[in-house]
Amino acid sequence: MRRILPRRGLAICLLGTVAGLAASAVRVLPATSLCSAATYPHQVALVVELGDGESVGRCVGFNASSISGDEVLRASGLEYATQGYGSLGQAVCQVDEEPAAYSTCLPSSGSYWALFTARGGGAWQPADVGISSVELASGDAEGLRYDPETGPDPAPPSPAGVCAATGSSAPASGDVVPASPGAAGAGISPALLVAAVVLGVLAGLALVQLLLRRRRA
Amino acid sequence: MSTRSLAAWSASGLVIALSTSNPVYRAVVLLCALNLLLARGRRGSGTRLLLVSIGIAGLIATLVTLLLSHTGQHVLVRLPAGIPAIGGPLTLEALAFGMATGLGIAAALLAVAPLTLVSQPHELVDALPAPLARTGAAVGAALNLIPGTLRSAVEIREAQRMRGWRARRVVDWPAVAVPVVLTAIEGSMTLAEAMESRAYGTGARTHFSIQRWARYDTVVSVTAALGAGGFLALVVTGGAPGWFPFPVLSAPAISVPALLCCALLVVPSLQVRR
Repeated sequence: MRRILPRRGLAICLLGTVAGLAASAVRVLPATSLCSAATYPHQVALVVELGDGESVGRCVGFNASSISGDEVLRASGLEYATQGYGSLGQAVCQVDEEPAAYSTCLPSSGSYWALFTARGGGAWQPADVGISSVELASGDAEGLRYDPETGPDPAPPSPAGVCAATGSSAPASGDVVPASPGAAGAGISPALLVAAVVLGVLAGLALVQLLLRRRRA
Repeated sequence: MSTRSLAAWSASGLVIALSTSNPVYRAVVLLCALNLLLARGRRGSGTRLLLVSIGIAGLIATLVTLLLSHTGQHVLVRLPAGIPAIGGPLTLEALAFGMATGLGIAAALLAVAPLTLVSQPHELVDALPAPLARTGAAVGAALNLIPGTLRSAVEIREAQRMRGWRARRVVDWPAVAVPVVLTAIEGSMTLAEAMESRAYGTGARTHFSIQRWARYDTVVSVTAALGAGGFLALVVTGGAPGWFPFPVLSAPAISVPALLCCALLVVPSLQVRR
């Protein structure tokens, strides 16, 4: 079987690859730098308990009198995804790439993200609305636990000390300005490079096929 | 290229396009299908019309999502809240999601397009398994009656208008509907008689030319099955994450193995017709 791959086609393939790489360079833009929570008059602690039991604490600072739950999560810099549930607001479907993929945000059986709030240093209480409908004041805490829906149903670890350590070595965030999740320290990942090359080569090949089709006509 | 291997390829493309929300994988399927149509599509088969239609469908999907989904952090423009349904913020996230939806529609349509734009109708009927051959022929013949019936309806309506008929009320429509139905029945009877006179149903279907299953068809079918099977396995095990741009737009996560599974669909485009 004879295969045709003219030089012009190769050039088009290369052009397509370059175009794909240029498009992928958008991810190289530097992330928004977040200020320390200690510089803000109000602070809210965020505690996230992942499926493997590991806990992540963040202290989020803000200027207004209150802050919504999803703004806290967004300002924390953690990757997350939500889905709207009508008047209840947004439900948390994914945090820090957990689960890696999902088809239903709150499955009838299986793990899901349970939302808790702690008011004024009190105990954790399960939230009765979605994260976008939760309003938090200074000193409150927001907790998320990846609940396996089987076995015991404990609350997340205590938020005590999450904001106290903000001024020192705690992983602080403090601005409610949206920061793109996963953008911090991003570069061209190998997977993105492969995707750009594959898409570029396929686009170039389509142009070659178009030229050959016209030549045959 | 055998129609059966083409059908296997189309099924694999469709499975991948419909099992993910990730626009990167959908784009790979779309480009592979486009390559196949350009490499092997029949001339005059309406490829350009199909591409324009798919472009319009994608545009509509994008616009509908942009106008009706008011979720997302990056507001592009705010429409007055008084406008029903579309009033409110129009966001970059909704625009991206709409484009990804349009891409999915285009990829799914282009994945099945080769069945009609590469194969001849009689080749499709030939490709059916023997138990379905008669049913396939009957269904194909019935589907062919639809455009004929539409043409007949237009002709009858014009003829009735020349006689002074006007469609003012519902009770006026039987003047057109009855002749259309009678003409369709008559056409069906004529077709049935024509098929019977050609000994339809008396034995196995004969062929003017028999499609040969070449070695390349095996390569196409195996790579398509591997691609779709591998991709589905990755989706089920979480190795090929989907994409959801809300509430903040982010780049889709890409899995190289899943990408390579999609890229296997390019195989039939690499064979150049002599």
